[in-house]
Amino acid sequence: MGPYGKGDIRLEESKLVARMRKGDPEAWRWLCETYGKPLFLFAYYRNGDNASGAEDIRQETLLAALQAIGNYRGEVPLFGWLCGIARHKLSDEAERLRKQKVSLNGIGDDAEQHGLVLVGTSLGNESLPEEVVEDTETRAAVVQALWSLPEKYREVIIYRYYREKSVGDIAKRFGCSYKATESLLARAKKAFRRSLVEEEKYEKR
Amino acid sequence: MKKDDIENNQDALLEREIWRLVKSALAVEALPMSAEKICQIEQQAALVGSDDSLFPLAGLLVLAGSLFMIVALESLLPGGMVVEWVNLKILSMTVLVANFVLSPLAALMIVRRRKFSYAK
Repeated sequence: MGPYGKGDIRLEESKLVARMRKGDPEAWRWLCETYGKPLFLFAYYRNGDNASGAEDIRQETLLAALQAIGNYRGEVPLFGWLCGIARHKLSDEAERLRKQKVSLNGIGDDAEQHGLVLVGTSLGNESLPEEVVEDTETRAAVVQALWSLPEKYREVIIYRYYREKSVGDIAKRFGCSYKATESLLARAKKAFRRSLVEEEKYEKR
Repeated sequence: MKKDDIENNQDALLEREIWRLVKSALAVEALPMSAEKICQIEQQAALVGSDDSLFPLAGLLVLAGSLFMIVALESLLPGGMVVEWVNLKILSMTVLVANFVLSPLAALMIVRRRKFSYAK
């Protein structure tokens, strides 16, 4: 049993990944529709709240995932793997902009005439206060942890804590008893906490 | 403090923490992917899928060619069985061409797959 609990999510994901490896467009469409928004959020927070940069990173990440899907071994949830690719893309972009900034320093006052626009500060987080940087990274970690959970767990957490629905309302929505929903919520919170801790351990490596 | 009180406090702290984290993380409205971009991914996926289907086929053909070569060589051995229905020249040429074409193709596919390795 891995850090993400018993094998349910892994079995579903392994079936999806098998279809993705065969190039099934429907499987990839499902991936884009399910993980497109959280992937955007992850890139947005890691990119210093830069929306257009996040859009580009998301597309590059998915295109890279297409090429690399044969190498996905299932040791981490699929969304966690996508976030790993996004991190690589973000650091490549930061490196590219850092070099651009260095070469601009060499150019000096001619930078504006060359029409070069610096966005390196948002990627490098150099000009942001420390507490905002931490908060941004934490939010990215929360997004990754949430979308690494099984769908049912994620839904119940979002309904309970983001939409602030009562357990009774959630039970009606899911068509379950109050007790069953309470139990589901307890398991979801535990799994979310475990997922977040695993994510923090990975970040510190 | 009783054990139950401690546990209740910890539960309450966890509740508040999860509420704060989730609210904060989902505060921004994420942009969905445009239909155009999803289409691009689907098209690329179909291409990648068709590339990958050639790989086992290439492997099978190389294997089949190698087996034919073994049969042909066996027939040349002293006392070996002469397989009359096999034209050795045509067989050798076919195996040679197949291996020259398919082996580099299979190698290219392996290299392409290894290039984008993001496995953890």
